[in-house]
Amino acid sequence: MDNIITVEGVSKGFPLPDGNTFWALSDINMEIPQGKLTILRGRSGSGKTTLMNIIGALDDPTKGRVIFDGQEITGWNEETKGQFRRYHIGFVFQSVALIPMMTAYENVEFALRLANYKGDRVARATECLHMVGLQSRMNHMPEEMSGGEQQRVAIARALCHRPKVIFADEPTAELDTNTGLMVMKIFQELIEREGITIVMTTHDTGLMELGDRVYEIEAGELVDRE
Amino acid sequence: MLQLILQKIKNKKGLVFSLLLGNILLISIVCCNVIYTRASLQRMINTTFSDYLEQQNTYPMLVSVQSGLSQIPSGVGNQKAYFRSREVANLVEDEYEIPLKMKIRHDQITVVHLDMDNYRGKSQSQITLKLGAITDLPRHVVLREGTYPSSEFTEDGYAEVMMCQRMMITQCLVVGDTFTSTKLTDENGELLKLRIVGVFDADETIDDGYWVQTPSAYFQEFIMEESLFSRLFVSDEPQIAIRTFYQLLFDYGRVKPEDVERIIDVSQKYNEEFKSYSDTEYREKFSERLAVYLSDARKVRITLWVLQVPVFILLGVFIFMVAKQMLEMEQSEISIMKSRGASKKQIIQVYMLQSTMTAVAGWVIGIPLAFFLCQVIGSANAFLEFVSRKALPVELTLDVLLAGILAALFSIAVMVVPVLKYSNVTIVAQKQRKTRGNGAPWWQRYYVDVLLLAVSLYGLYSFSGQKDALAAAVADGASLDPLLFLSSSLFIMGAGLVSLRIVPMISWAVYRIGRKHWSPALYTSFLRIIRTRYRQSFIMIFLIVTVALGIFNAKAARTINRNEELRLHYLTGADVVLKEKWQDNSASLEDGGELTYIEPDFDKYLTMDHVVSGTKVYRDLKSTVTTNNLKNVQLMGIHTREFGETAFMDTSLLPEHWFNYLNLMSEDSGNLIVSSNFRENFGYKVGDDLMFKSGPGGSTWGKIVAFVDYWPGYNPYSYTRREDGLYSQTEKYLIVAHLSRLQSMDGILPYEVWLRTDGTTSGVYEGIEQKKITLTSFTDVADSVIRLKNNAVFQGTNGILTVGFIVVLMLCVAGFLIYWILSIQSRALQFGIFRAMGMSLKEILAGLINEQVFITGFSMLIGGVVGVIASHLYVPLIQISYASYDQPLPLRIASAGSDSLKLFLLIGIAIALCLVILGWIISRIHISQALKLGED
Repeated sequence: MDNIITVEGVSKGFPLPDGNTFWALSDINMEIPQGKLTILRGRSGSGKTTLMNIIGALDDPTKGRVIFDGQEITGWNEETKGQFRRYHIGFVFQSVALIPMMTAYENVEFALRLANYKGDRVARATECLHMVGLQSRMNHMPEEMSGGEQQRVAIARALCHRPKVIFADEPTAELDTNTGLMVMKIFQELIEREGITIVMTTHDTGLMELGDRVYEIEAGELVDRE
Repeated sequence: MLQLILQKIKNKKGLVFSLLLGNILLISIVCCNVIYTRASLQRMINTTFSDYLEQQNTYPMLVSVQSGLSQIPSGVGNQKAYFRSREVANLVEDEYEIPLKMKIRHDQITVVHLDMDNYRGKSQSQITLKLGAITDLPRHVVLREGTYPSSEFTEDGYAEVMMCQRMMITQCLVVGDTFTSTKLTDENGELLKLRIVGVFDADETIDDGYWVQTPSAYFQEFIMEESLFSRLFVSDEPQIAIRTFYQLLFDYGRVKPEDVERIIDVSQKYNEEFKSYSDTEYREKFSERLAVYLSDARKVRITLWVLQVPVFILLGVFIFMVAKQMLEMEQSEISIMKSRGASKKQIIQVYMLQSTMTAVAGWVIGIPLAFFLCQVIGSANAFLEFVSRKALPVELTLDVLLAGILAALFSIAVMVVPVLKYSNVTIVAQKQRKTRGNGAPWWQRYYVDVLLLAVSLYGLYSFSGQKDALAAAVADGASLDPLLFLSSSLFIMGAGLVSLRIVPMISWAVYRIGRKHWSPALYTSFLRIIRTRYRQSFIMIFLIVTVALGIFNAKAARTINRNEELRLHYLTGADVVLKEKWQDNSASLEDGGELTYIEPDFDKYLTMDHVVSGTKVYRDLKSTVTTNNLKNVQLMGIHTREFGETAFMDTSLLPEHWFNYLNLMSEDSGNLIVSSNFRENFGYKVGDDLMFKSGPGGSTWGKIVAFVDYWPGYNPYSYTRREDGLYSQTEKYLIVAHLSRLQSMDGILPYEVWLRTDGTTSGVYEGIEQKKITLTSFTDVADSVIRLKNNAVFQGTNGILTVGFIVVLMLCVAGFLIYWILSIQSRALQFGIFRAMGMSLKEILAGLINEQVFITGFSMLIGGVVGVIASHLYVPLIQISYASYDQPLPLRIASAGSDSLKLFLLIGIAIALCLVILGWIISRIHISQALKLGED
């Protein structure tokens, strides 16, 4: 199994007012396999989102490095990281983060525009919405949709430009159990159909068995579960 | 409760500040109006009196009451009149309620026969004189000889009197002369003996208006000491006829605007009452002048209010909008309070208290600001143009405080009204409402914008129809019609609102055209512009109105000023027009001799500094054309070339350049240019001969070569103000002839000197002073313009148009910042998503700039268009209200490039400042914070 991302000795510290440093992450080493669902589990405050932000090129570690598809992404400037995210990464956020004044379709199409998608944008956006089962609600505004539906639009938006990896931060946290499971099902389908790599965080132990690989974080450190 | 409010204020600093700003501006504008109006009126009263003093050279607020007009020697009639006068003199003092500066009583026995004890060189031994006494005399006289009369009889039984210098000469009397009355008796019943002890004259060092009549007017009267006179002759039952004159000198500097009506009423009452008395008189001349002031004051009052109406409306709208915005943000708090059982009353109380606090703060800051604004208005010379002038006599009166309180109450009402709506909504209803999204604003749903526009256009239509009536009304003293000005404001609002229906269509069209190709940043910004169009209307309308009002105000002010400047320039004829005092032979003139003048040197004027050219212009306003029985024709004798170089003439007034007329005239020395009414009224044609007679000279004839409607210094009508305050018009005729021809016929008569300067007239003043030239008349157009600009209506108009614009600009800036800060803050999450998805800060900014172009840029563009249209439609009508009654020139809209430049520079700076603030706010938004990516 190929690893698309390798994390080597990553630590993240935040300076405290008293002059000491709070280590949100310390010496994390991990691999993320390609075309699989990786789950980062931890309680709130454990550091899982911080870790995901670093892997997803949103944030820099204090120490250590991240190799993404053979390239070291740590230390890049904002501009380069932005470009990298734009083309190779899709994000799904915990709180639903659709652009409120765009319809479901436009939200998806916007991601295609942003990634400078060369193919037929209309067809691709429609296809992605179909994949998440929302073809009938394409022209609805976010505020006219339920939380689950919005989250599915967010997933469609994250995957449509065929990123290498989708990062999903607590995608099910604000959904009820059934809807949460439906989202997980979509993830699994995507992995099968599109061969995409998905990294998600969760605090829900019930979802852990759905992951191809699971890392558990506690107080900024990986806990060996095997 | 207070704590809750303070907490709220702390959380919404920007909005609270804007609300406070709105309140401060509203209150200060209202108070400023009250203060400024009062100050202007006060100054008008002061000028009314000081002009009177200057023109008539008599004390301006003088009441004379006198008795004894009919020659009743003694008895009841005289007694009554005497006491009536005394009573009225005392009453008037209280009824006018103006402090007296002086009350002079002059009692007089009109006929006193005196035996002269020593009649030097005179044929008669008896003389008939008057005997009188005047109050407060010692303080106002200097003794040329002798002493001041005593209040007691001398030891040898004489009563002492004095006389004026003129009396000494005309009556051949000297100090020491004694007399015995043939009839009057002293206290002991013996015949009264008088002795002259002094010769008096006015004390020139005291200039307090005491000498209503000069001392020489008393050349037939012995003056006795006042108390002695009273003791001897004035009693409850006077035995002899005594006249009394009261001169009441009121302190006119203390007359306040609110006193004027009372003063006129009191004057009228006494004038009426005294009509029925034949032997007493009540006389004053100031109430006539004050009546004129009163009609002018009404005009000033109305004009100053009307001009501020649009600003009031905008301030009201602004406060309402900000209050509503604040409520919208607090909606959930209100709903929660409501759901937890707070009554509607309690919620309203919270907002009532909050609004009151804001209004009170606005009141405290607004009133001092009002005084400052008054000085700004007072120093306005044109739109956004200031000069330093003498400060206005501003005063803090009860009216000002009350006006401030009224404005504050109004503002509180505006702020609390929206609460009534929101306080009814529970949390459930609010959630439901939120999801329903934003519909079209009420004014679009009910077509209020179209209605406003229609009403304003109807107003325009009906006013245009009665343009002549409007002009006539203005000539009769009417002020700026409030409805006319209001309809121009309605037009700006209406047109602005209607265009808000159109702008989104344009944005939509642009978006559609390039839909496939827009970069992600432009794509999102277009979608935002189109989908949130209703929310933008608030800021757009403020931008539109600011720009439109700015242009409209600038044009209105410029036009009003320019028309008056042109009128002054035209009627004067040249930059400086003066007439020197000519020496003549009148002193040595014998009967039948010819009056000849000595022509002073003319060239000295041409060498004065800043004088570009000069010409001699002979003007006779009393020329006649006997064939047509025309009198008072204006005859003008000119040197065509110099006249053309010197006189001021707007070249567009005549169908051809006016030099062509001069050239035509110069072809022959007998050629004439005459006013068109010769053709219209008497059928003269070009080529006809015209026989005219110059005032002092004989008949001359000339050939008509051209007819003109306009000519430098020529007004086709003359106006006289009738007793009812209206003006009546008389047609005037003009004949322009060659000066050389007139001079060869009538000799050289005193002519006017017309000068053109390079813009500065100081050289002429200096030259006149240096060369000690005595002038009989002098007009400097620049000086007249300055005086015009100090006129309350003009100064107020320029000032209010400027201040109004500045206030609106401030509102616009505040509104702009509120809108964009809220807009950006509410989009923080969205920007976070964009950043996470890989959009760079530059791209996000590009999107925002695109929004600025379509929202701010378009608004300003529309504002410009609306402003230009509004000024073309309404300024021609509005300027009529400012035209002088003797406006001979066609009124035209004026604009100056410098106005627009200033306007856009100011707006540009304001907007740039806003953008800098926005940029700073955006740069402070962190993605991780925005996205709540951190776990804490």
